[in-house]
Amino acid sequence: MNSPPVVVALVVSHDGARWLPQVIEGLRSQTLQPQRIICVDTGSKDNSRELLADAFGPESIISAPSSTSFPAAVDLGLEAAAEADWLWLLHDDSTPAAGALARLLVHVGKDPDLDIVGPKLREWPSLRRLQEVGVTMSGTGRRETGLERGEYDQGQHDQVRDVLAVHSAGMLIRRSALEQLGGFDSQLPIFGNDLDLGWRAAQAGFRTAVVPSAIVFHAEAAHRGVRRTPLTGRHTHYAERRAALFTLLANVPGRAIPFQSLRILLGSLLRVIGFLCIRAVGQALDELAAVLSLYAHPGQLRRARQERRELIASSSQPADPERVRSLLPPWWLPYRHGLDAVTDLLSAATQQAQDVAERRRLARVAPDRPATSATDRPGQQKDRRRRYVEATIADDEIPEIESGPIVRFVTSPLAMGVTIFLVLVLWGQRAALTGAFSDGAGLLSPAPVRTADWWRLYLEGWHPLVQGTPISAPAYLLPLALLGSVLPGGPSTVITVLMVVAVPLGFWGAWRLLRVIGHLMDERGMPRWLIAVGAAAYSLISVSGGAWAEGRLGLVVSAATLPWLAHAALGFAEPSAYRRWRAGWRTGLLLALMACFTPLIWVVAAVVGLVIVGLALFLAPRSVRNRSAWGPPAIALALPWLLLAPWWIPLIAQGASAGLLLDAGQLPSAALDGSDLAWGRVSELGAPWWVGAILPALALAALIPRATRLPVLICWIVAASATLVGVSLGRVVVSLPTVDTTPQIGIIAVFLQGLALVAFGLAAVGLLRTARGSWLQRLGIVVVVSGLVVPVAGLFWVTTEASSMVAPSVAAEIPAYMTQSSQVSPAHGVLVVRGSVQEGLSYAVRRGDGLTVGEDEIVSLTPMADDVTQLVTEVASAPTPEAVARLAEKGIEYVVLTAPADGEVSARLDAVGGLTPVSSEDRGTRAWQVDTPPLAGAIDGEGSRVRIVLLALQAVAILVALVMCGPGRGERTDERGDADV
Amino acid sequence: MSSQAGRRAAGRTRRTWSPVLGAMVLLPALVIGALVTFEAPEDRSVDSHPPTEEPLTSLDLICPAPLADKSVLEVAQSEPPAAATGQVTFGLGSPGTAFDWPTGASVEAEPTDAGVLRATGDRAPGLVSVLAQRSVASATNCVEPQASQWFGGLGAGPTHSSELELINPDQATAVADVTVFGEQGILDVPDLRGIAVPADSRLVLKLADLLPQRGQLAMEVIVSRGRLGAHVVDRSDELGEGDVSAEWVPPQPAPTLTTVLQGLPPEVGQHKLVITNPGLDVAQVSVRVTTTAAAFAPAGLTEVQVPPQSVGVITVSDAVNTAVVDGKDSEAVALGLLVESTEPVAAVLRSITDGDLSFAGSAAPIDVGLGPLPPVGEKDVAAVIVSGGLQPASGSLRFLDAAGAVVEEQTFDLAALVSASFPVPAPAVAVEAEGAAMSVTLLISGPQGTVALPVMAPRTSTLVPAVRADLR
Repeated sequence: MNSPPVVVALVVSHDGARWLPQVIEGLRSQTLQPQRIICVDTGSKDNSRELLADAFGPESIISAPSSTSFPAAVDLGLEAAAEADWLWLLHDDSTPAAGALARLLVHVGKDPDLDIVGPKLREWPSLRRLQEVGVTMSGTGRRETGLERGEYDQGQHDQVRDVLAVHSAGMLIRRSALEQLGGFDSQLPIFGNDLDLGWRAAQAGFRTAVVPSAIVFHAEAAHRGVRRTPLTGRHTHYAERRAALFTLLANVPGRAIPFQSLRILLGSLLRVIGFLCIRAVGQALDELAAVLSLYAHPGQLRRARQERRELIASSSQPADPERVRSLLPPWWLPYRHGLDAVTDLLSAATQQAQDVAERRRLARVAPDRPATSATDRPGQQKDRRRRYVEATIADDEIPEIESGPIVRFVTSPLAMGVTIFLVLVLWGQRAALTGAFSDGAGLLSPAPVRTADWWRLYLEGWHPLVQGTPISAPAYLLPLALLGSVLPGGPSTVITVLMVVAVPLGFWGAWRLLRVIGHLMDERGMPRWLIAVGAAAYSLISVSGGAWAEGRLGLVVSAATLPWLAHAALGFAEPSAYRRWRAGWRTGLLLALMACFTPLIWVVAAVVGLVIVGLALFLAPRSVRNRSAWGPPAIALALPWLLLAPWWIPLIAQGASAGLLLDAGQLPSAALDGSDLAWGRVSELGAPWWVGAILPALALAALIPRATRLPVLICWIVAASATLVGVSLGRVVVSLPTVDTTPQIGIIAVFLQGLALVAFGLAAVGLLRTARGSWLQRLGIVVVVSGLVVPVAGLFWVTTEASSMVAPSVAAEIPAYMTQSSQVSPAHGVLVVRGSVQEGLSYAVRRGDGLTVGEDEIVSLTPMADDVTQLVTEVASAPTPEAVARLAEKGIEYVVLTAPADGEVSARLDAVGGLTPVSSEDRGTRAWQVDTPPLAGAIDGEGSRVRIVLLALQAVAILVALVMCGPGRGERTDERGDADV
Repeated sequence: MSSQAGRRAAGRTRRTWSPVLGAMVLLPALVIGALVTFEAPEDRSVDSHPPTEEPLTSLDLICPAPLADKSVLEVAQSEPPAAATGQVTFGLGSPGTAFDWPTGASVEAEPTDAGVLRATGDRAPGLVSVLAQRSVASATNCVEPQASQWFGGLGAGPTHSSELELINPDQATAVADVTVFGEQGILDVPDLRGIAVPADSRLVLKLADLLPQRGQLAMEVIVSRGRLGAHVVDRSDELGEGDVSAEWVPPQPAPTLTTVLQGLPPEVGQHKLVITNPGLDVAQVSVRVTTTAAAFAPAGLTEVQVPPQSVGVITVSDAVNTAVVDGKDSEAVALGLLVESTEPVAAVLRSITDGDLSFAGSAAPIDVGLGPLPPVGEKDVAAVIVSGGLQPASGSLRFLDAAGAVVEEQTFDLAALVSASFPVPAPAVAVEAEGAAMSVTLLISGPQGTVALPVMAPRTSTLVPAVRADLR
């Protein structure tokens, strides 16, 4: 029988007095005591030394300066423990469970080939959560434990197994092995040295195993930043990351170095971006600093690799590289982590849009807050909280539709109803599905062929349209181009999808908005059937109001976005300042998106904002003075100006500021009057007016119930502000170079309808929840049910009429060969002349594939080219060969006189030299080719370089805004802050 | 304490109640008031942008080839410039022969071939021209290229044949489509579809070659591409008797419901009224003879029906001859025919008197007219016939000499359906008419025969279309 091995326990301590009593206790409670305990104290400023000396005697203490690293401390201990066969390493923040050493030794006895064994580490102070059961390192330098975050120890990892490394806290290492390995690497003073040691050991042919039956509790004081030493510094992330990367590059096989170096660099940059996305700027800088510091000192790495090579060479039994590789994690693991991180971020981003009402109520009933009034007894609070939570769970986001099982779905009348509604709407919008809008319909031009056309149009400073123009592209091109880059099928799909998805999107947004408003009104919220009716009524506004059939893309998109904007703006009422700021950024971003399509929404938002702030100043002046109360709305109003800078700054500079008042789409659109605004009708292609008249009537009736009168009045205040904006702007005549129009106030009509709906919803909730059985409630229920007429009538019209209202947009019929030729170069224009001498002639120069989505706005703001008008007049009235040749100089290759072609003009054009008659689309149309080839650079020009700067600014601003409105690291800490507002 | 709170609460309720009630009334009133009084600005866009009138700076008049050797081209200008800077040339293809015409209202030339009378600058406004023969009693107006012209009284047989002469004044090929109407309906003549006339050239199409047949024909000449001047020469060949006579057929710009045909030959002859009904309905046509006293329906000439898309021929010899003979002995001198129809028709009177062919064509109503006088022989009688058709007419005629001075001025004030005839004084070379919607015809008759020339309205301005840029 062999004598038992001599085990010396080595405790390294530094300012660990907080944990040492338990550590000492743990050591003393060991069923198998180590033969000797050596404590290395590295200059503790607390009473660590005294505690250890009292426990194990002064002779067992080795004092070292505070600059001593962990590897150096272990070296000191090793020197002192000359008799030891095994060395048991413990940190001052790790305490072993009673049988830890015995179980490790039992296992070493069973498997004498083992050189390093480690225990199962559990979190301290939670004691139940697993921290590490053996560890390895991924290709990106990540410490891989193979555990879920916060995983509880239920014995699920209790197999003894070979691992790459074990944590130095609780590590039992054969003295000879430690000596042969040269101890821990002094380049790694605190973090990652155990991984490095394990890796080196594996390469040198030593075996490492984890023995989960042995348990050590570890506080990870340094990692969590609870303990700072001169060695960790203030930047623990930097130290950890640098150590990890050093370990990785020092130990990977030589041939993998170039690949690994590149991978680490790119991976680190990606992580920097990731950290910036969650506004963890410090960690991003640490990450960057770690990788730069490592690459700035290649000598250190060279030396480290040299040492490892020598170690392996001197080893009597170097390991099979295959075996070492099997101890490393699979190659795909980092990518899975990356995916997990993105998913986490997204889920956090969606969660932050949770109801403001929930949080306001939770803040009110939070158990850790004092009772809000003398009448609030704890029991009541608890009860209220329970009821609230139940109610919240009961009507979460349209659950049956999204996630419920099929049976639940089929048996839920509401889910079935919503589905049938959406299917019927889709059927009603069949014209969009057949590509009516992507081919151009009503005021919507055809979609361009490629998404690249949108990008080019958006980015370029000079457009080859008309006679060349520097007018800046409409702002909505950016979201369209982004969508086009994502969706398969390019611009046509984008247009079709937008025109089809607008109703469901509006429905969803209105659902969310009404749900929150319901909760703000009453903790049980709005009945779900009422939410569904309201959402359905809202979602149909853009179709039954005529915007959809007329191809008013801007209005359709804005109408679908409006409830989302309102939902975001409700975030201004969040109890926590942190969330209010986030809401400010989110509202600003959505407002900017809407302003791209319908700019006047900004004016409405600004006026409504001013009125609300004014009211708040009047009612609660103190709360408004708080920066976190007025700041977020101010950000929301300012952000669109920043985000849309490449659009509005050039427009103003180019004297085309009228464009700031116009929606996306062709001109001229019908000017609206008071009744149009009231009934939400923007064109003749909508449902009968009375369909739009119901909501305003209900909003008027909503003033009657006393309980909800105040919130309904707020709706009316907002409506009055929006109405005043509408009637003031709607009277203005904006003279554009080729057409007169009025500012497009269609979005105000939609806004008023939405407000009427909200007012009605508020009153309905009040009626349904209060005074049960009273005559008022009975009457109210009749009125509420009559609200059903709105979506039903709208739906009936949409399914029966809407698609038949869609008419192709007006465009000249150009022979295919001309279209082909004009696509060769923008200078190959086609002069399209309409009308007669008696009634007047109008002309347009068609270039490329004709006017497509995004180009109309530019052309309508482009000043008239007087010289071209003069030339066309000359050619139409008294053409000469010289005048015809000048057409070529203006980049015109063909002249088309559309049917019915004026005989007088066509006879003149036939007669003049320099024009050759060519075939046309039909008998009534006449066409000629200009004999002189068009001048190559006829419409070339140079845009302003400022645009590039503005575009760069916009890109940065969008990124910053996205990051600012997303979830961040600071959420938890900030939320505890001023929650009173 | 609780009672104090209660009082506070009650007080608050009383204080806030009335503003809420006020807002409840005021806010909807404000919104409704704002919406009710809000009207969209008026749509100021207009669909019609009338053209502007600008002085003519270039004019092309197409003159056909002369019928015989001794022909003369009479050119006159209304309100001629004191010292003209513009140019007038004549020719086809090459730049043409320039007229030496620094001053004066008229000029004369002797062309040998068809040509384009091209005026530029200050010679263009008000320029008119007549091509006349000295030897044969025939003359025609040189015309501007027209998109569409109607010709009637044509033939494609051995004794009565017509030729269409198309002249392209421009440097690009022009195309014409000719529709031929016969007494049985539209005739299918593929050769007359898509007739291409090369640049600066003249093309003559003989109907007898293309569609040989008897009977009266009519045609519509439509220029579908480019510009063309169209003239038709009609010939009467009384086989065996040796009398061959040719005359230009006066064109009619478009079919009308009422047509005034002026210039009855003063002698007895054969008279055929040729009516073309291009419409799809039967035209009921009635004819009256207009005289210096009144208009009357001749005895025995009842209403005639012209089938759709056909030519109807009414032999009016008896009626016209009677009227002409009666007119010599009375105040009521017969001067023309008034054709009224239920459908728009084109009408022309084809007469042969003493072997001379003449046409009394439609004299379109004009406000201002200028007619150069063809050379008048000693035995010839020249007169200007004026009528207002169904309307009364009043105005004046001024006879001008070569320098543009007024030789004689006549004023007239005619009742509806009454015509007047004014003899042309000796030194006059042109007649200028001024009035309102009157038909004016120059009638020359003598031993050689008769020629009736509708007086045209000279063009002084051009219409410049209002051109505006459009969005698409």
